[in-house]
Parts: sequence; structure tokens; C-alpha cells
Amino acid sequence: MIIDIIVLSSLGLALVFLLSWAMRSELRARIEKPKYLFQQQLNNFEKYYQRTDEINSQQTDNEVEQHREKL
Amino acid sequence: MSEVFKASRLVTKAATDELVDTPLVYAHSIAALVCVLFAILCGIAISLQFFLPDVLGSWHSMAWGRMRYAHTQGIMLGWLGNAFLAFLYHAVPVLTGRKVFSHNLGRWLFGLWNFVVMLPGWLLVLSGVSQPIEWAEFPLVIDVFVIAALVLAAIQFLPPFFKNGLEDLYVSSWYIIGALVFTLLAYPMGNMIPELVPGAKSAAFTGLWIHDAVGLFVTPLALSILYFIIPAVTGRPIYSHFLSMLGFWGLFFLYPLNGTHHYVFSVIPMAAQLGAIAASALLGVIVIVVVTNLLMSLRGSNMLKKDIGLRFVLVATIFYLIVSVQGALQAQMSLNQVVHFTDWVIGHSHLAMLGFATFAGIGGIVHSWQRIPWARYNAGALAWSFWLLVIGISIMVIDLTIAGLVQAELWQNGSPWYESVQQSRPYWLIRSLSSIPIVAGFILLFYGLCSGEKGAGLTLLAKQRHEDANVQSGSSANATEPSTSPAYFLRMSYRVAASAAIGFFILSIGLLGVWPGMELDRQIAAMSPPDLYTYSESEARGRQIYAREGCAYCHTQQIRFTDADISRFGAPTLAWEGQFDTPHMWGTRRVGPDLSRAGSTRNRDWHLAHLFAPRSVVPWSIMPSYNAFFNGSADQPKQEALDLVDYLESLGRARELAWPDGDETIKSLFPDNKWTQMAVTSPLLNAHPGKSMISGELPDFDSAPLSENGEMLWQTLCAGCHGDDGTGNGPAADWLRPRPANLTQYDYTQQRLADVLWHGVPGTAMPAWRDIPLSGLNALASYVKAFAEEESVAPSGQLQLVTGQRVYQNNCVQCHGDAGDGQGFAVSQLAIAPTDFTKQRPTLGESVRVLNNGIEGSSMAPWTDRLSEPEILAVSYYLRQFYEAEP
Repeated sequence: MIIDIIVLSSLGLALVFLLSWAMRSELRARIEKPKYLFQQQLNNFEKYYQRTDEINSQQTDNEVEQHREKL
Repeated sequence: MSEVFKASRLVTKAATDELVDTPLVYAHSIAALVCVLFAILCGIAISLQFFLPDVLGSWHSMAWGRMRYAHTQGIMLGWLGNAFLAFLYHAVPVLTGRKVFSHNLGRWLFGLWNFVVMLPGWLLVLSGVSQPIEWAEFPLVIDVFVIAALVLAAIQFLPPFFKNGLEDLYVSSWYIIGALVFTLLAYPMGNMIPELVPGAKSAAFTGLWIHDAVGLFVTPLALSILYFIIPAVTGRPIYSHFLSMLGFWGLFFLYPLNGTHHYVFSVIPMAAQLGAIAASALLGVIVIVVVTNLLMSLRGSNMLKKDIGLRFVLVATIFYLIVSVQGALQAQMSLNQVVHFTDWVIGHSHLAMLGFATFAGIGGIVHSWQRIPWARYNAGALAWSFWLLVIGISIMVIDLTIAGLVQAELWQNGSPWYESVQQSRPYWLIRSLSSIPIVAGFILLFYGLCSGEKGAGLTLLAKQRHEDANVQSGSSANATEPSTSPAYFLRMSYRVAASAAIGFFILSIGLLGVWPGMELDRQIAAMSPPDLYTYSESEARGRQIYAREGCAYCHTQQIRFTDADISRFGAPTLAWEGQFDTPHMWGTRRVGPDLSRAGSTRNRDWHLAHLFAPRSVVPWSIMPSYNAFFNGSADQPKQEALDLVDYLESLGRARELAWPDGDETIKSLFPDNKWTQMAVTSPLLNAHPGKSMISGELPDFDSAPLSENGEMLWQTLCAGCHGDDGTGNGPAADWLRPRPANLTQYDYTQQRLADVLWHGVPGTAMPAWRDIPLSGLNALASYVKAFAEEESVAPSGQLQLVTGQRVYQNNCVQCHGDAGDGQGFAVSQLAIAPTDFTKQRPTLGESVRVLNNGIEGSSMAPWTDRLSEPEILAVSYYLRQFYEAEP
């Protein structure tokens, strides 16, 4: 009985997931969207540090502070 | 260089205003490394004691069990907890584009985690304040602060996610949210409820927690690292966000339902066990999906050669696959009944915590650390650290897995316990040696993060990016926005799934905790005999000592419903037997034998000698010495030793008192329950091969020639008490009453030796050796016979024999019987059976010595105040004639 509940409910939820994914192309795209957003987020973060590094090595303390405020 | 220093100073100053709170990444990373080094030192100390049990001397705070508690809590909370927190301070702002809640809250959280949880937790368990629950060893007072810290962590890290909305959350964010929420739910359940409910019910909740600790705390946070670092380093999105979410929900649905697979073949209702087994198998499938997705995300990347964090992540992914498939398999009954309690399981847990989770944790730390502009970074040292850790952990896990299989084989075929200990020794040695590359790896990791130039990590990163310019452009090209956006549907589906995950968690507590508890209550009500003895004050104190010293981590107190357990230990443990045990001490591993029926198996002197100097009575034993419980000698026990022995003597008492009538009643109450019938139809309640018996059938002993096997068995089993030369002067002899027999002073018939070896000598420390193969016992008997010294006895006169007969009839016959066969009418009143002179003949000198001095610890008193010297000599002559020498 318990085994049936666990197996069937797990398979049922997986099936709902799979069917939704297979039948709705816009949903497929939507489900995949976070990975692209995350990639952009990562790029922004890397650029932020690159800029900070460049500024640190070229500008005065005050300029660094100003840059930080801008960021 | 000066520019880097300038930058680091400025960045430090401004750090709290920046997106990532780098000082807290730094602080938690350092704390993690300090904790892991301490936890591993504890691990090494306990591993060494497997073959050098006295290596730490009598330093009680360093006792095996206490170090074991410090080791596991140090790895889970100290090392992994800090490593994950360090990563979260980096990852949450990157995932959400928002800062964590508060820098000041972070400082409080850091202080709470390390100086209110870890440091006092370690000090308390090392000073004997603990709870004997696997992965929950810190005492309740510390649990309160852990929960407070988890609440602070939720406040610190969750708000940035919720501000962004659910539908665009990346899988790492889901794992972080899931871990923070579910750990907060599971921790109190697993750490506190077992202190409130007894016996099997307590074990059911422990089973839940053991798996929730790994499945709802460690695994989600480790997976969040893998899903974060792979795209961050390769510069490409993961292969499939859909598969990653399928894995995420699968994990949160199924992990909580696995718990009871730690107690397969126990008295916990079989339906709950089967449910856990099914969930374990399904989880294996889910993990394959997760790992496939991760590996597909890594395919074709050339960053593995360049990025050390990614290398750790790749190995973590592979370890995750292996450990999860292994876990799913070992939960299945066919494999579980063989490998459970062996070192296979220890290999499995090390692969999970020191392999998968640790490599993910290091990956997270290295990745985050490299991006701290002012932190030092030494790529060379980190690369060496990686290889040393891979080698060390692989050797350890493979070694323990093989050791487990060796033990499983020996336990299944009924070999004596000492054989599994002896054959495990080389594996235990290799396991300890494997700690050398592991420790070196962690020291190099520490060194790699604290040496090199400041900002070198970012410089290296910039260089890599420059070399691999395509990475950035490629990823940007991939970052496409879907044209249509069924956000409502997705948001709703995630809400449904989140509700389902909570529902599955509650279901797990219901199905694997509460419902089995109710079933067990019904069982106990139906099966428990009335008017059970509870623990006496001394026994209760002894139980506390047993708990605090971690005895349950080597000795189980649950005889499983398997043929191997029944034939080795006796009738399976029923729920009612543990109804006063809060918390339970069922244990999850057997280094020593099960102690469910320890009561009345050994005598008190033996227990005291064994606690004081284990190898004095069991030369092959690896049990640590508990000489701190004594005033310098086994015959001068402190109250702690007496309490502990009282507790040991109480184990199995209730079932023994109820046997066999109680079991007959149960048999008739549950005629159709296969497992109950199995528990009450076992041939022996206590099948311990060392338990002495008054009489019984004997197998066919044969005389055997002297052999090396006999000598080996003598040294292994007997020399501790009887001494190498059989004179009864072994290391433990002075502590045993009566003293071990001086075998040089007796002739024994084959039948007498067979009887003693097979049944032991009740009332004395002489155990039975029924687990030794008959050929071995024959060889041992021959070896014992050979000790007898030739004695030239002057012939006795007729008058002397008549005097001897008169003395015997007047003084000895009550116990030793008319025929000298030890069957006098007073025998039933004696704790130790009188000598049967027809099967055992003392030398004349030995008889005179015994008559003069008596036998301390037995009913045989000195006779010098009632018999004259000639009379003693006469009766000594007389009783020699009873001996019925075999041809």
C-alpha cells in the first residue's frame, strides 16, 4: 500500500512534469529561461569584478570609491 | 604588487557595501578548514584505535566514542556547514542580483555557528555530555542554538530569492531555498524527538534524521554548488533546466521517505521498511537523471584543465552518482541483509560526506575565494590538494567497501567474531594510511588559500577568460529570452510542487515516524509481559555511561530478522524489549558483537576485567580500555564501572524472564505475521556462542594430534586468563574469582574438555566457544591436555585410603556426590558446579592446595580448621580413584 502510494505519486508527478514539457513548447522555453538569466547574471558579476580590478590598478582611492558608488 | 595591495585595502573597506559580502565568505571558509582539520584529526584518532586500541592511553576525553561524536558533528556542522555558508555568501547575491539580508546578521550567524555551536558542542561531547544518536551527537542544549542559527540563515539568505519571484528561479536557488527550509523542519524532528520517545519508535525517527541530514541539508546545498559552478566556469548554461528541476523535485519528494532503510529487517513495521526501500530505488533513478544533466553540461568544456574549482565539482558529481546508486542498492533487502552493519556502510557514508559533499564544498569555497579581490590564491597548491584528496578518499572508500564485503562473508557463514576482527585489521590499517593524503590535501588546500599573491585568483581568472574569449560571447549568444511567457502556469506548478514537497516531508514523518510508532505501541501493548522491571538507579546510570562513551557505535542492540543474526545472537529484538530505552541505542554498526542479550552471558568479574583491560580476557579484542572507571585495578572498580556492568547485565533480562511462556503467547496472538513468528520461534533466545550453559547435547568431539591450529586458538582465546603456559596466571587471572584453572595440575577426559569448551563453566568467567569449528575445538582440547604435568605419586596405604574415604563421606559427598561425579544433593544450591572427579583429576599437590586454601569465589572453603594434615592428604589420595581415564 505504502509502496504503491510512493511509486504512483512520484511517477504521477514526474509524468505531469514530462507531459507539460512535451506538449507546450512555450512552457519548455519558459522552464529553460532561468538558466539563461543565470548566465547573464554571472556575466554581469564577472564584468563587475573585471571593472573593479581595472579601476583598482589605474585610479586613485577617491576614484575607486566614486566608481563603487556608481555601481 | 602595490596596486594589488591598494585594491585589496579598498575592496576590504568597501566590502560590506558590495554585492558579495567577501569578509564573510573568507571567515566561513577559514572556519570550515579549521573545523575539517580538527574533525579529521578526531577521525584519525579513532581509526588508529582499530589496530592500536591503547594508542591514546587513558586520556578519557579522547575515548573512542567521544572522538567519534566529535568527528561526525565536526564534519557535518563544522566543515560542511561553514563551507556551505561561505558559498551562500557568494552565490545568493550572484543568483539574485541582491545582497544578503544583513552584514551584521552574518557576523552574528558566524559567531553563533562557530563559537556557540561548534566549540561548546565539541567540548561537551569530549567531556561526556552528548546524545547517542547518529549525526545528532551534540546535546540538546546545543541543538537549540543550531536551530537558532538555522533561523538566522533563513533570514539572511531567503529574502533575496523571494523578492525576485518564483518563476525565474535558477535550480541552484531552488536547492538553497529547499535546504534552508527543510533543514529547519528536519533538524528538531531528528535531534529532539528521539529523546522523547523510547525504543523502536525512537529509532524510526533517528532513521528519518540520518537520511534527512544527508538528503535535505548536505545534498541540496552540494547540488546547488554543482549547478552554480558548472555554468559559471564553462560560461555556458546547463544542459537542461527541465531535467534539473525534475531532479530537484524528485529529491525533495523522495529523500525524506528513505529514512527507515537504515533499519531494514528490524521490528519497525515492514510496510514502512518496504516504503523506504521503494523510495530508495526511485531516488537512485532520480540521481541518474541529475548526474546525466550535470555531465552533459560539462561536455566539451576545456575549463576542467584550467579551473580547480570545476575539477572538484566534476569529482563530486561522479562521487554523487556512485554513492547514490550504491545507497539505492544497499537499501534492497537482498544486499542489505549481507552488508548492513559492516564497513561497507562506513565506506558509503565517507563517500557521501567526505567524497561527494566535501568535494562540492571545496569546489564552492575555491570558486568563491578566487573571486575575492583581496584574497591570496595559490593555484599550484590547490591543484596538488585536489589530487591528494582524490587519491586519499578513493583509497579509503574502496578499502572500507572491500572490508565490508569480507566482514559480510564471515558474518554470514557463522565464523567466530574474532575472525572478522582479525581479517579486518589490514583494511583498517590501510584506511588509517589513507588519511595521510587526505590530511596533506586539506593542509595544501589551506595553504593554497592563504599563500600566493593577493588577488591572484582574479588575475588568473582574467587570464583564463582572455585565453578563452569565445566563452563569454558564446554564453551571451545563448542567453535568449523566450518569446511567450506562461509565467502564471509555471509559477503555479512550482507552488504545487513546493506544496507537494512539504506534503512528502510530512508524509515521511507520518509514514515512517508517527504511523510506525502507533503500530509499535499496539505491538507493545499486545506482546509486552505485565509488570516489567524498569532499570534500577545503577542500571540507569550505567545506561548513561554506555551512551556518553559511544558504546552503541560499535555494539548494536538489535538482533535483526535475518537467519545470520538469529543463529549468531538469538531471537530477533521485539519492540517491547526497548520500551524503557529513551533514546534508543540500536546502533548502526557492529565492530563488536550485538549486546541485546548481554545479560547473563558473562560473569561480573569478566565484565570488569574486560572494561579495565580488554585484551587481558580477549587477546584479540580492539575495544578501548576504560581504566578511568577503576582505581588502578580491575578488582577496584569505581561506581561508574559497577553501574556500567549493572546495565550490561540488564540487557535482555526482560525477554529472558518472559521466555518461553511470553513468546508462546505472542505466537498464538499473531499466527499469520511472518516476522513475529520468526521472532518467537527461534531455537535459542540468546544464541551468544560464549554464553555458558549447565548442560546440553555435545557434538562429537574427537581426539586430535597437537597442531599449530590448537596453539593459535590457545593464544587467541585462552592465554589471556590461563596464561601462555596454562598455569592459570594470564594477565586477567588476578581479577577473576574463581581464578582460571591451572591446567598443568589436572588430567581431563576428552568428554570433560568437550563439555567445558562447548558449554563453558557457569558461574565463572570461563565462556563457551560454540562459534569455533569442531576441528578447532578438538585441536584446542589436545593442546589443553598436553599441559598436564607428570606427577610421581607415592602409593597410598590401605589405612590412608580408608581415612580418605571416611573424610570424603563425612565432608565432601554433599557436593561432590558418592561417586565423586559432582552430583551431591546440594548441587542445586551452588552457583558453580562442584568438580566431577570422574572426568577431571587434580594432582595430589593441587588437591592438597585446594583443601588448604579453598577456591575463592566458589563454595569450596578451606578445610584446615576441620581437617588435619594427614586427613587432607588422605582424602586427596582417595578422590584420585574416581577418575575414569579414557583408553
